[in-house]
Amino acid sequence: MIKIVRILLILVTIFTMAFYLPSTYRKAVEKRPMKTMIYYSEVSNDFVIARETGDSLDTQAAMRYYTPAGTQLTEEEYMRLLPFNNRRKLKLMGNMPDSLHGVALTTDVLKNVKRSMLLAPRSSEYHLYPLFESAPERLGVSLPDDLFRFTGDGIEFVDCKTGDILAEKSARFRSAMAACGFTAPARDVYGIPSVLKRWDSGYFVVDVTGGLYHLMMVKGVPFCRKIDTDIAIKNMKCHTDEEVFAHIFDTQNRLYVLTTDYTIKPLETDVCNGRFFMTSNCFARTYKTSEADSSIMYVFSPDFEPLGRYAEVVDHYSHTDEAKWEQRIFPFSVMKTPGYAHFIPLFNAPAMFWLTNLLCAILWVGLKVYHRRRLTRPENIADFVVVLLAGVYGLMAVLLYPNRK
Amino acid sequence: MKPILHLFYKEWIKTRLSFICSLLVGIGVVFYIFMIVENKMTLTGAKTYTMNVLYSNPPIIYYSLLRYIPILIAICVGVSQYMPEVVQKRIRLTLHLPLDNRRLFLSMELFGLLLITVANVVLFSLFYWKNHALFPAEITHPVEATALAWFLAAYVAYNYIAMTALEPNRVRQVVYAVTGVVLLTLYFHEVPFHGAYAASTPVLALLAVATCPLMLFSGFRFNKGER
Repeated sequence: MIKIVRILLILVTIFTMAFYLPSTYRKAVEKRPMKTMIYYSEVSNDFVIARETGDSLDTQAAMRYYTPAGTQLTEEEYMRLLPFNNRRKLKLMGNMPDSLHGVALTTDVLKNVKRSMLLAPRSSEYHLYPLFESAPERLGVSLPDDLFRFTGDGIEFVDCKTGDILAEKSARFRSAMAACGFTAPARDVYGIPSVLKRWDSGYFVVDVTGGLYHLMMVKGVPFCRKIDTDIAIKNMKCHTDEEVFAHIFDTQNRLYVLTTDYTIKPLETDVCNGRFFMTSNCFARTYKTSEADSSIMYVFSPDFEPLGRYAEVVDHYSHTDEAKWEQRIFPFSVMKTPGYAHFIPLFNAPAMFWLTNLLCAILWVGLKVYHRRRLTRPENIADFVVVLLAGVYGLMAVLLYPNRK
Repeated sequence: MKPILHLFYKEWIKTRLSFICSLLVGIGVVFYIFMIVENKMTLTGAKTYTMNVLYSNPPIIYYSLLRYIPILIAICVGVSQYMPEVVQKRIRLTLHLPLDNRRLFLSMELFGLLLITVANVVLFSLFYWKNHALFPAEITHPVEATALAWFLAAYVAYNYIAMTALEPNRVRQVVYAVTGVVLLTLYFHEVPFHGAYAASTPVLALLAVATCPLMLFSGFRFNKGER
């Protein structure tokens, strides 16, 4: 019995160390990576690259600006090339152009810059949403008294105060959705369940057959429209935008855009890691993504025609000597995914850590020989295997909980 | 069976005061949590408060006061059960009771775990009842999944207290206590949304189960007279 308890102790200790030691090591040795940023200039219709040449936290003017051809730009040239990013400084310097490509750069045009993070995996969902009035008498969005959910029978409205089901309203919306061809229950519901938006565009509902529907409440009346598509939808990021309802990720992490005229356009991006940072203004739309060792930007015209792609190698912890030493010291690590709090084991390549594990095993054998213990006892053989497999963690755990007769 | 019941009675005499007091504090905290919720619903309106619980960024974690209550009960039970006997070295007398030492240690631990389970069931039931009375299932289910990890932490805390208390070597006592605290931190990460920890609850439950017989390790060392 006591041997089983000891094994449990060792396993619990290895798990805990695998969770804390690699992250502690990283916090102790990690250096701030040099920043590399890619921009798209609406002025030159070309990319602008900003690279950090020293630690900009300590050194003044450590950023250097380049064109894709490698020509260095002065800070003023860089700012002139990016009037949307440097609006305030250019105005203060008196260098703000009045117009660009024949379009007057009014305050409305300059402020109409949208930024959004597009992620393929869904964040946490509570499956309870407010259905806002999409054509309110007063400007803005106001909170309804009820929330809706989808059950096997269809949509269902719940009164927030009493928790009662609003039968009449539920039946009205159910019949409107059924008339569109909606088949309950809903597989997914996408929208912006917040009053902090300029107007409401309703929700996009994927039914059990995979069909996509647009659901709104217009002057208290249900509005439902089927959107023709054969995309296997994984996630949608909705926007409050005059031209775009939402960005769609399919199950292969390919990106599409759903425009307000109900057209779905695929965006030609060759990296499908499901993470994009989007910015748009009236001249261009950019989608930036990161691979393990590079940052990539795709540029599209306002009507989503591809204009260009640029990739730049970036500085990352995984390329450093410290990261290689981490892989040499620790055979594996356990981490929690941010937010979801899953425990996930991350195994390093055995070619990296085999020497450390072997050294730990030799050290363990040396200690046993020094204390004149018999190595052929079954519990000692088991300890040896644990040290050989779990390396540093295993050695610390078997020393922490020693084997006694 | 009878000697075990006698042992349970002996343990009950040691722990009853701290157990009952800490449980009452826990019950008070649960009622206080929902008193605040009802107050907010009255002041801001049920729809606004429910929306803030669901979609504020970060969402309102109205049950955050509950976080350390189960572990507080476990610490009270563990400390009152083991510390006086160990500090005054009366634990050796217990080992002379007409009961196999392993069964004796397991019975002592079983009693502590039973008390913690009773406290957890009472607190969780109260929390469940009030929670379901005020919120729809779409909120209550993720909230309860998150809170479950805190109730599991109580078992880990108790098991490590028992293990540390019985360890005869002071240095090892410190090592066990530190290991226990480090392990417990896995149960108390930030709650960025309702339902956080839900995915890791099976692993956390497995860890809690794995810590249950740990006391036997230091009990065995204590019994052997290790230094």
